[in-house]
Amino acid sequence: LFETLKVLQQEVTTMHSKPNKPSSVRLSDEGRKIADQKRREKGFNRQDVRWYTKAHTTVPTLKRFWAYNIRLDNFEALCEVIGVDWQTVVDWSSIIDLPLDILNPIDPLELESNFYINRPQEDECYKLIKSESIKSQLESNFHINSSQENECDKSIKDQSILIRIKAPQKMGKTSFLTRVLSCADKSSYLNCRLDFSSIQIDVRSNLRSLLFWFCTEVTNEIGIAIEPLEEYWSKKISSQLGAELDWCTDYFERYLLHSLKSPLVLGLDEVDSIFPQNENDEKANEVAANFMTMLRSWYQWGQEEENWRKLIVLISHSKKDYPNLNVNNSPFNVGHAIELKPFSQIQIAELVKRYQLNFSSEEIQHLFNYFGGQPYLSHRAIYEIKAKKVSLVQMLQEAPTEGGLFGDLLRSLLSTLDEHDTLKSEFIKVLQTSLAIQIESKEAFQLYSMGLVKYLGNDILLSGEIYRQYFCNRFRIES
Amino acid sequence: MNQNYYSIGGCLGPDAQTYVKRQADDEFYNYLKSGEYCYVLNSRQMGKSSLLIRTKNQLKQNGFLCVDVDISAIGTMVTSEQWYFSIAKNIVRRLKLPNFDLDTWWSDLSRVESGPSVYSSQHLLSQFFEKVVLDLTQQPIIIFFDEIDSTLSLNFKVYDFFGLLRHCYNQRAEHPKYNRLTFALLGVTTPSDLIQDKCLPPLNVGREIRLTGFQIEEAKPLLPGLSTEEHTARVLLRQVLIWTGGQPFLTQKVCKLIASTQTEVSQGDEESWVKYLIEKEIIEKWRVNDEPIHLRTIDERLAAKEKDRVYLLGLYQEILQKGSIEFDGSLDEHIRLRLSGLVIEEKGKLKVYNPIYKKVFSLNWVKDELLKLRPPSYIEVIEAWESTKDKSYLLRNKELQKVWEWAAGKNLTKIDYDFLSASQQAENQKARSRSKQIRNIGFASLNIALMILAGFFLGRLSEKEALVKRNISFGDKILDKKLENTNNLEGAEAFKEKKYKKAISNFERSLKSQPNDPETRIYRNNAKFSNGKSYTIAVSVPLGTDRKTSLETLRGVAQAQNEVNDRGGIKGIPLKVLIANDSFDDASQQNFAVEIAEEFVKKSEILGVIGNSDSDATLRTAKFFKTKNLISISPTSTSTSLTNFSPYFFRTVPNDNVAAEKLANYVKSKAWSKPAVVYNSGNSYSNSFMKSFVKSLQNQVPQQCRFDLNKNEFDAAEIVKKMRDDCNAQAIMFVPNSVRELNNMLQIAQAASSSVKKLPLLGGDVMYSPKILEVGGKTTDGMVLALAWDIDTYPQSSFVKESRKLWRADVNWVTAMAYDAAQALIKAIRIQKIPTRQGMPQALLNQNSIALGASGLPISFSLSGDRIDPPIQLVQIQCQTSSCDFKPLKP
Repeated sequence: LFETLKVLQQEVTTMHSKPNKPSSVRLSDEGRKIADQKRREKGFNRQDVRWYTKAHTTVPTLKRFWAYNIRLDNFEALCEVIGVDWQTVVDWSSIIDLPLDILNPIDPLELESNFYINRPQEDECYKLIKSESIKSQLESNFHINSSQENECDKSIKDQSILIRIKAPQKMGKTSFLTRVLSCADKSSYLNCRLDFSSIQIDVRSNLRSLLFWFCTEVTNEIGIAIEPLEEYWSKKISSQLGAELDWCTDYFERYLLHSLKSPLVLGLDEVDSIFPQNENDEKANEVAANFMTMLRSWYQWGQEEENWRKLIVLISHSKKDYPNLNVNNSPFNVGHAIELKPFSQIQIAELVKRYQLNFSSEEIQHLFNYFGGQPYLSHRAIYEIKAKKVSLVQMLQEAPTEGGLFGDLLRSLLSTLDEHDTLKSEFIKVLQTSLAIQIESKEAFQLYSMGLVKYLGNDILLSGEIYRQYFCNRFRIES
Repeated sequence: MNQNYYSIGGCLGPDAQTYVKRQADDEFYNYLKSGEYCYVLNSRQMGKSSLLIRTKNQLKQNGFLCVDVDISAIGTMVTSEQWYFSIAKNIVRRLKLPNFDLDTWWSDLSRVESGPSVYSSQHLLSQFFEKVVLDLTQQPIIIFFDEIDSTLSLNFKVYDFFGLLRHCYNQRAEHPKYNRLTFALLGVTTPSDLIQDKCLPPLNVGREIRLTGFQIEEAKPLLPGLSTEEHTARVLLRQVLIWTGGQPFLTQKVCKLIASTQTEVSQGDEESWVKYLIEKEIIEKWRVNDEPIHLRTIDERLAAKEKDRVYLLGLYQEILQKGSIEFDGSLDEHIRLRLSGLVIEEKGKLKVYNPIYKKVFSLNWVKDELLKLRPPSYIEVIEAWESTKDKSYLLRNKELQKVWEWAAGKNLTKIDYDFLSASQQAENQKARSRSKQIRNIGFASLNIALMILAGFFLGRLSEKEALVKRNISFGDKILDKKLENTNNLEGAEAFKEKKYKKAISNFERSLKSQPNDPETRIYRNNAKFSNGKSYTIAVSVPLGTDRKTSLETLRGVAQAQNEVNDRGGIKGIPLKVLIANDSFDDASQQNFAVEIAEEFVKKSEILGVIGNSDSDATLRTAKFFKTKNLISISPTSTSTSLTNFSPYFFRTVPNDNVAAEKLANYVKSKAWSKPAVVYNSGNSYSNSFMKSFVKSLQNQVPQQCRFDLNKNEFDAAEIVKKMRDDCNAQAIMFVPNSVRELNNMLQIAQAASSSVKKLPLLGGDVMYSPKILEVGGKTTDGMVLALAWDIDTYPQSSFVKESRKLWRADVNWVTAMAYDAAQALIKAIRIQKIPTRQGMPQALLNQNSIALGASGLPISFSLSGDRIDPPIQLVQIQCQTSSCDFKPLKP
C-alpha cells in the first residue's frame, strides 16, 4: 500500500508541475482535525485574512479548503502557512486530474464557474438583504439596481430579515444559498453557512449538544475567538440556570451580535434535516421543534431590537409539512419565502451550450422532460455526456438503472418509499397515469419534497420520466 | 401599487402603515394603563402579536416600562427550575437594568432559601418581582406573557406561576408598590385550558380582550396600496372585506395579492377582479398556495384530536347547512371549533367566518374528509338514509357490529348516532318479533330461543355478572329505588339509547322536583358530555345497607364533578362517574363489594375508585385493588388497619387514632382523670378506637373503667353504678360499633344523667347521627365528638356555599370527605400528561400541585395512604329549649 501511495504521490507531483493540467485535492477527515488544531495554535480563525493572504490565495479558496477539492498549489501553500506538511493531511483518494473547470460541476461553491445557471430568485434575496443594511444604518456597498428599491425599503424597514429558500431535494438549494452568501461576502457582510445535514445523529438528538455545535460553528466560521464561548458554556452547564435555548440566544446577543460591526448573514442549509426520519421519535422531534422555536424567537427579537437586526437568517428546507412542529412557533411561517423552481427548457439549453454540446432542440426537449428540469439531475447528466463523451441516448439508457449515474439517488428514494406503505401506494397511483391526479395531501407533499412529483394546481404529476422508468421496473407495474 | 406595502405572517412592526386599529386596541391600552390585568386569548393570525407591539409602543411613549416575554422561546425541554429562571432572565434582558447580574442574584438567593423546597423557584421569582422588578425601577411596569399556551406543552405544571401572578395582584392592597406591576397574557387557548386549578384563578381579576375582524371604517390604512385611484381602492377594499369577513391575515394577504398584480382595475370591474383573484390564487390551489401557512393550520386544528375529527366535522357541516347554530360555551367542541378560527361567535351563534373559508372548507370538502374517516361500506348507506329515512338502508347484523366497532372510542356526528341507534333499534325489534313467532311454536323451543336471545343481548352473562351489571350505572338505570320517578326513569331510558339530549332534559326535570338527589345529578353530568372523550372514575357505595351514608358520599362526588365540568373539565375533558351499589342486606352477598371491584378493574377507562364505605368492605377491596394496581380512596373508612395497607389505597378521612387522640387531648385539657370507656371488643372499629384513646391518655384508664358490651349482659344501670363505685369516672367516652348500638349507649347516658352529678360525655364519630339528637334529646346535651369536618366551622367556604345551592340543605362530614376524595382524583388526573392507572398513585402523592378540600386546606397523602395534616375538630351537642344540634366546639 505504501508503495502505491508513493507512486501516486509521484504522479501528483508531476501533474503539479504541468500548469495546464493542475490537480486538485482535499483534506482527509483526520487531516481536517490536524489543520484545525494547527490554525488554532497560530491564532487563526477558519477564514483568517492573514492566512490566505500569506498563502497568496483568496477567501473562497480557504473556505473550500475545509470541505472540497482545491488546486494542489493552493493546498500546499495553505498548509505551509500553518506549518503542516500537506502530504500528512491530504485525502489521497481525492486527487482528480480533470480540468478544474468542469471538476465536480455540482460543487455548490463553484460559484465563479461558467456552469452556474443564474436563478431569477437571487435578486429577490439581494434586495431583502440590502434593505436590512439600510435600516440598521450600517455602511454597505452592496448594490442592486432596482427602480422600486426605495419604496420597498420603506415598507420593510421595521422587520427583521428571514429568508426561507424552499424547494424539493436536488433542486439546487445549496448552490443557491452559497451563491447568495458569497455575494453578500463581497460587500462587507459577514457570512456563514452551516450544513445541517452533516450533523451527527448524537449531536442532533440532544438539545444541548445541538446548540453548542451551532454556537461553535458560527463562532468559528465568522472568525472570532472560540475561548469565550467555551468558557461561557461551561459556566452555564455548571450553574444550570435557565433554559438551554436561552444560553444560546444569550450568547448570540451578548458575545456575537453585540460586537459585530457589519451584519451577519447566516445561511442554514437543509435546516429541516434535524427532524428525525422516524416521525415517532419524540425526543428528536422535541429537540428539532425547540431549535426551530428559537430561530422564530430571534426573528421576533429583531422586530424590536436593533442588535438583532444585524442578523439576517437564510434557511433552506425541502419539506412543506412538519407534523411535529407547531408552525406558529416556527420560522416556517414568517419572513420571506423563496421557492426554487426546476430549470426551464431555456435554462437547460443554456447549460448545454456552456458545455459546448451540440444538441438539437428535440434533444433538449427530451432531456428536459426526462429529468423534469431538476437542476442536479440535468446538470449531472450533461456533465456526464461531456466528460465521458457518450451520446444522449446512451446516457438516458443507463440513467434509470441501478448501476447508472443516479443509482444511489434512486435507491435511496426507493428505500424511503418501501418504508412507508401509504406513500408507496399513493406514488404508484401517480406512476400509473400520465395525467395530473389528486392523492392524499400529506403524501402529495412528501412526494413533492422528495422531488418525485410536481404540482399542477391541487393535482400532482410525475416530475420526470426517469422515475417512471426506474420505479415501474422496480414495482413491476405497466407504465 | 406596491405589494411590499402589505405584510403577512408574523407581526407588523410598531410603525407599519398597514396596521389596522381596532376597538380592541383602545380597550387593551386603557385597561393596562389603569393597571388592570388583561388577557388576549384568541385564534391564530388574528393580529395578536401586532396588537402587542403597538400597545407596547404606545405605553412606552407614555412612560411605562414594557417587557414582553415569549414563553414559547424558553422551549419545552426544561426543568421547572430552569423555566422560572428563564422567565426572570427574559424580563431582565428587556428591562436592561444596569449593573444587575441575575445569575449571581438568583444563585445567592437560592442558596439562602431553606433547602430544596418544591416551591423555591416560584418563590425566587416572586422575590424577583418584588426586589428586582419593583425595587430597581420607578416607572409603572407592564409584563406581557406571549404564547402563553406553550405552558401546556411543558412536562410540569405551572399553576404556581399563575398563582404568583394572582399573588402580585393581591399584594396591591397591602403594598402599594405592586400597583406599578401589571400583567397581560396572550395566546391561543381558553382560560379553562390554561388554569384548570379552580383555586388559583388569576384570570378572574383580569379583563378579557376580544379581537374582532377588520371593520370597513377601521381598515382605511389598507387603501393606499390597492390603487392609485382613491375611489377604486375603496371599492376594492369593500370587496376584500366581504370575502375575508375582516379576518386580519386573509385581508392583508388579499390586499397584497391585489397590489402584486400591478394591474389598474377600471371602475366597475372591482368586484369581478377581486373574485377572480381570490378564486384563482387562494381558493383554487389552496393547499399549494397557502404561504405563509394559514388555511392548512385550520385544517390541522380540526384534526388535532384524531378521534374527535368526525364530530367536529359534523358540527361544522351543520353550521354550513343551517348558516349558524346556537353557541354553547360549555361545550368543548364549540370552543375548539371557534379557536380553530374557522367559525366565529356572533350574537350567541356560531357561523363560518367568511366566504373564503366557506369555499375552501365547503360541504364537498367536509364530505371528502368524512369519506376518509368513515368505513367505506357505511358511507353510501348513511347518506341514502339521511336523505330518505328509508329503513331499508339501516345496517344489519355483522355490518352493524363492524360499524359499532369502528365507532368505539370515537366522537361522531349526530347523524352517525341517529343512524346507528335507528339501526340498532330495528335490529332489536326484529329480534323481538322473531321471539314472538317462536313462542307460538312451543314451550321448549321458546326456552331455547330465549337463551339464544339472552346470549345475544347480554353477551352470555352469568347470573353473578348480571347482578353486577344491574348494580352499576353511568346513567342507564337508577340504582337507588327510592329516588326513582318518571322523569329520571325516562332519562335513564334515553341514556341507554344514547339520546343524551333527551336524557339531560329528563334528568333535569327530575332534579327540579328532587334537588338533593345526587345520583340523578351525576347521571345528568355524565349525559352532558357523553359524546366526547372523558375521564372516568367510579364510586362504590353501600346503598343496600347504609343508604344515608351512600347518598351523602354521592353528594360529595356529584358536587366535585359538577364543579370541574362547569369549568370546562380536566384540561378540557369532562369527568364521568360510574356509580355502583356494593352491598345487600343479605349475608350471602358479603363479598359483593369485591365483585364490584373486579368489574371496575375490567373497565379499563376507570382511573380511580372512591370507596368503600365501612372499613371491613374497604379492607377487602383494597386488598384486591392492590393486586390489580387500581387506586381507591375511601371517604369514610377510619380503621387503623388500613394505614400502610397498600400503595394503592388512600383515604381522606382521618383514621381512628387521630380522632381518639383529639378526644384524649380534650380530656387531658379538662384534667378529667379516669374517664370511663364504653366499647365493643367484638368490633374492630370500636376496639381499635378504644385502644388508641387509652394509649393517648398514657393508659390512665384502668380495667375497671373499661366497659366491654361484648362481654357482659347489658344492664345500663349496673354499668353506671360500676362507673361511679369501681372506677370513680369523671367522664364517659362512648365508642359504639355502629348506629345499631346507639340505643344501648343512650340508655347508659340516660342512667348517668339521672344521677346526682352529671358526667361529661364524649363519643366516637358513629355518635354523629341525627338519630342521637332525635332520640337522645337532652340526655346527650354537652357530648363532645371528634369529626373530620363540620359545616358550621366553615360557613363562608365555597364548598359550603356551593353545597347549599346544589342540595338545598346542609351537608355533613361524609359529603365533605367524599368531595375531598373526588378532588384528589381530579388533581391526580390533571397533573398527568396522559392520565393512566399506573400514574395515579404517583400523581396523588405529588405535592407540587395540590387540590384544596372542603375545608379549604390542601389534600395531600403520605405514603401510608393517610392524609398529611388530617382535618379533625371537636363538635358538641348543644340543646336549646326544644331542639339539639351539633355545634363546633371553640377551643
